[in-house]
Amino acid sequence: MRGVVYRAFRGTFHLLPSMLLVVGVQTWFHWGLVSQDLVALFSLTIGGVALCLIREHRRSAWNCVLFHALYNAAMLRQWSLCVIGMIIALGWCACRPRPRTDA
Amino acid sequence: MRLIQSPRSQVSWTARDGFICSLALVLSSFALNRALHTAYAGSAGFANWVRANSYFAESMFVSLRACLWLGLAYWVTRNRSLKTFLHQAGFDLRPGLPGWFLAWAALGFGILVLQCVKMGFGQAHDPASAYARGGGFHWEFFVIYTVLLTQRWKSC
Repeated sequence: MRGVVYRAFRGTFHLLPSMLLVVGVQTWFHWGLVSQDLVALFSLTIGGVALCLIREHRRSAWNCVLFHALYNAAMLRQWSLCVIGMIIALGWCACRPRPRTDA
Repeated sequence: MRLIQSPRSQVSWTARDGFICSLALVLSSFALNRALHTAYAGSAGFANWVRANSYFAESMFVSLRACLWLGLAYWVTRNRSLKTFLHQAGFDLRPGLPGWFLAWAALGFGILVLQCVKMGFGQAHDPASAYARGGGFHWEFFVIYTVLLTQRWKSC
């Protein structure tokens, strides 16, 4: 969603309309839940906006995946998975790939 | 109205692509649901298998949908190569340290939502415990696909 749809909307529209459109599509997919729960609607909207802002300011869409994955793990109360995942993610985030040297 | 400048090898994605892609995702999801519903109603064997392995079947369905969406996004955006597609979608770079710190914010936000539900501000949905009852493999599969691919229940 953030990788393709948001980037496509940003190719034409400014930040706010693009965010609104993406959050709208996202809400459609969660309609069964958000139509009967205000907390779910609130968390979905805030989360959707946060993901769009991350995509806007960071070049890699993996940042959005990481953000979403941690939120999902918290929702499932998988605390050990959160810690293990974040340790692995730290290694992935901190290590920069070596520049290529053509022999 | 403005367009993002891109190298010649890339296709400039515009709102048209965004709308087509969104529509494709919605329609494919709807079609997949209808196909499964028809198969469930029309085939006793399939219905029995789904009843016996409901958690696994749902996990497989969501994984299948994720693959379908990825394929559709690639097809709709008219990219010449998978490499170009991944580059434009932002999947060719690793996440950075700011992203890692933001993930902790997501964890905090998730805990905040859980607290809101606990305090009675929202409804409790607990698919996690239902999947846990489904057995070890079902539970592991559920956690992997839910954490990495989707989150259908925003508040447990």
